[in-house]
Amino acid sequence: MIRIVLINLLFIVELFSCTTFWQPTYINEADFNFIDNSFLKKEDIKNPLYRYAHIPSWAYDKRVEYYQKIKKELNLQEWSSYLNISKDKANSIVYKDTPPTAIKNQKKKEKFIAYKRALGLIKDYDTNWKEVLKSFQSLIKQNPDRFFKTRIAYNIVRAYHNLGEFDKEIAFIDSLQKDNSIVWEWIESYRAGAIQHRGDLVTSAYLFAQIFATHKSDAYIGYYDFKIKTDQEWNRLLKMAKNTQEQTLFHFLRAINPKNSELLELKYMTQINPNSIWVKRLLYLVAQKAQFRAFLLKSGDYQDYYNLEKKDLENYIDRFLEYLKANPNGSFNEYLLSYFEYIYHHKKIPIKDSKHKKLLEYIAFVDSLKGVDENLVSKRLKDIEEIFKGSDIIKSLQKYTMVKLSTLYPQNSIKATLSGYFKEYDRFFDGADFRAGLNLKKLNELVALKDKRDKNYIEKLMLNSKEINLNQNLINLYYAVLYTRDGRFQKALNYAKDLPMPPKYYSDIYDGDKSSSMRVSLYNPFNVSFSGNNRSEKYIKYSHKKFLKTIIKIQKELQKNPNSVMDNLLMANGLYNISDFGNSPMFATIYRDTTIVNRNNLNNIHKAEKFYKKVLKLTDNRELKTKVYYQLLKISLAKEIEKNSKKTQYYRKPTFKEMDTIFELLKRDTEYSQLYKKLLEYQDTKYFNKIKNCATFKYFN
Amino acid sequence: MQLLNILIRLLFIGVLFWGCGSNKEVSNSKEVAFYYWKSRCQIRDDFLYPLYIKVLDISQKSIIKTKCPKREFTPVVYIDNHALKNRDDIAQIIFKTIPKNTKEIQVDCDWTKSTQKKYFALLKEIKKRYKRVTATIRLHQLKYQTQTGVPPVDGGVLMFYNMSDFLDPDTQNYILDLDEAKKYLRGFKSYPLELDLALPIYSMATVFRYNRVVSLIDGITTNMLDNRFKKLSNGRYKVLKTHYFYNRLLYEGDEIRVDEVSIKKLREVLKLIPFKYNRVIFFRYSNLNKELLKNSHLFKFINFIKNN
Repeated sequence: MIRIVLINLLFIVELFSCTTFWQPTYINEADFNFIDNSFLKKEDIKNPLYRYAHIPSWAYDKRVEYYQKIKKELNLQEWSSYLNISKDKANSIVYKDTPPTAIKNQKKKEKFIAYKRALGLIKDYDTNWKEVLKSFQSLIKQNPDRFFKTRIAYNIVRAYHNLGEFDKEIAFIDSLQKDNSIVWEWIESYRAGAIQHRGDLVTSAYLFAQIFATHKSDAYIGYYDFKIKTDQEWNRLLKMAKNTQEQTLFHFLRAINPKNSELLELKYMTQINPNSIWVKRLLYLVAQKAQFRAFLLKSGDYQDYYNLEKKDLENYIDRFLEYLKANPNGSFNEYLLSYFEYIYHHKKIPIKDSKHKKLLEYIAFVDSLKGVDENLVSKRLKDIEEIFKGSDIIKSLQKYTMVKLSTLYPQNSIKATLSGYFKEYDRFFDGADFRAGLNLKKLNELVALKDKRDKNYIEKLMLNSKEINLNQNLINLYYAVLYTRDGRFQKALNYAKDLPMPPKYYSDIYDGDKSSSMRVSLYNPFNVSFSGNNRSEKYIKYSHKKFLKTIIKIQKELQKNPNSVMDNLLMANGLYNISDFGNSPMFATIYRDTTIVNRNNLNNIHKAEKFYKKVLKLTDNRELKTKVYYQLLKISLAKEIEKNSKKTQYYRKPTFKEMDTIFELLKRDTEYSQLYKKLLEYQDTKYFNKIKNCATFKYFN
Repeated sequence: MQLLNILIRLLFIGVLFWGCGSNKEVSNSKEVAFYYWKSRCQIRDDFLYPLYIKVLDISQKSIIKTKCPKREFTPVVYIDNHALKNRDDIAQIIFKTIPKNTKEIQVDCDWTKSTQKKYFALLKEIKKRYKRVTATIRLHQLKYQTQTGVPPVDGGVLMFYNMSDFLDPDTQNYILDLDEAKKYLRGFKSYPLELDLALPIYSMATVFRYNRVVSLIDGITTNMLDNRFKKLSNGRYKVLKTHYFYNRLLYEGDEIRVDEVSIKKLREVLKLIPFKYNRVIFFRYSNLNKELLKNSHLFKFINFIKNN
């Protein structure tokens, strides 16, 4: 049964999901949630069945996982108390097949061994259910105690069910005496399923609804197996209800099916019994969905990320507002109406409840901010947090505030950056983008903020992520890298000299945190090779410090003798190699994403070009000239990639397929054509004969 | 319902009768076959028309295998584009499932420019193992053959259905829209592969709620709609009352589009086809449009195909 439902769900997902980007599983895990859930019980708030899912198949997995955990926990409680052993020990013998030496009672031990032996007949696949049935039937004949009898009976029920013997299954269950064991929930679920298999959809739907509403360990089955196919069945089910509360429960089960209309179901339910807990629960779910859509409209991300149309989003909120206007009674409804009128229409409607009135006032205060007064915002935020102490709303209040502040701080300031990232801190924030976007100005500001003694509340929140709170070693490393990138090598060396000594072997760098605490190269950054970097090297050739010392030495030589061919060449190679296109980019890049053109590091390509051109003027050595022309060709390719990456929003590097286009464009470039022609004049050189077989060179051809 | 069962039975018996008779009388006549597209194989023993059965449905996350019947048939493998992009085990899955001595295997994949290279490489690999490999061709792949390429196989089947965007509220008939089809066939000169023709004989309803598709109901025709539906000007029907309709819950205000085909339209399709074909494969054996069975329309059409 569940399988069929799942296939349908998966189909719908396939139909509507066209993005691969991260989405919260449940709507109330989205950025902002200002809908107070204090009328719900704590366990209801956590219960994944009372939360709206973006992607039903993900929610199914989470729901099953949630209940499996509870199921196991409750089962272990019973085992541990019956066998008089700890839950851990019960876990190892019941779930992990550890020998039952922990069971001291010999009689119980024997029973346990016999029970486990029969249980062993149930495999993941290809179970011989007839054999299972026989085996458990023989066990039940041995007059077991209450504890084992329930469990043995449960396995008999499973066997009948899998054998398709539903009549026998139901008769057997009905002959049993119900007890308080959690196992009875599972037996009841099988019974409802067997009744469904026999074709009595109405009775089974009624039972599944009860399972959904009352079971602790498998309530999800009640939702996924609740099935009604005709009006007659539906009307019969409604008549079966003992009261209007139950009738609204049936509507609730229809409402949370993603194929159905929760808004219309809410309307129907409210007509039946506006005070039903199921109306409240659904109202909470719909409000969350409407809230999510309202903020999506504000952000403008609906089309790109969620494949939703503006008019669909507006339509949903409009219809929800219609419902709220038609049903304004009660403080929750009153708040929702006022809240949605404000976030959607920016209209202020007075409300009586002072707590929520203050919440709306705070949101309006944040919206009205035109500049940053950190002390004022800190105070207001702390005040409202005090009112909502212990509520999830606090996180949303902080995020909402930070998002607004990120638009008010000066652009390119560390505070604009950190407040912008804040809403991701508690999710999947790994700091990679933050590190990639650092420059010297931002790093200076970050260090100053970190060292500031009397941080206000806003500043403390900004730094509230371990990814942001860099240790001194990382700060030194980043300074060294950023100064290297800017060509201020002496400054870079001042920081690099305090960094840890690199090990001899490259493989050792992966021990502990070393990979992020130092920069090393396997190649000589002052050499350029015609072959690709195949990363076969084992030894670390250059530490950051060694690179800096060498390049400073070359700089000094060039100051003394600006026309030194060798020093100009070494300087050109060094600069080329610390660019993204060279063999040692790690010396000038904090975080390297191989799919993105690092715009900050392109400067070194242009600097290298100047030195290479100078070498051409200074030398008559044909071998050297070949090498330099080839380097200039590679630089022209890098420039072409840079030019094309500007066209895309994310400054992406071209894919291999797009590389063909890049090479085509390159061949139309006059500067490149001249360089290529020049290079062909050196076909007699040894270097040319080496590079002509190189894969990259063939592309230039 | 009983009448319908009799008609279905008649189709199989009738099909048998016409099938055998016409084959004897007309040499070089066109063959008629059926696709079977369900994951559970339930085919009547007295259905003797050639069958193309989807035995494998390969998507990125799952592989659905259909248990094959004990009769001769051509296995079809459906490959989802995401699977094509992300899986490297497709050939192995096929080789493990379909025996080497199979006479023909058909591959169904709506490949695009971005998946073309990988798809064609896969077809070449499959080609090494099986005697005859055919592939389905969509209308856009026929029209834009220079951009999408021609699959390296022994033959193709032009899928003459599902030619519009079914999510689009403005689509008139998702299954068969001749005006849409003509656009694809305009300027057609030739196709490097020998092509068969696949024609639709199924129907369905697409349910729209606030102009967004929320579900599909298979096997629905306009004749099934009662007074709880009101015909709208755009060929759609408005649901007047919340009710269950063929196992699905429809709400007041929902709209449905019924996509169906008629024999008249199918005959028009045959006139439009600009290439010679030897076989017509009907899509599909299960959930076929029961209206087509009335007054032996489908039998007559099958006979017409065979003799023309």
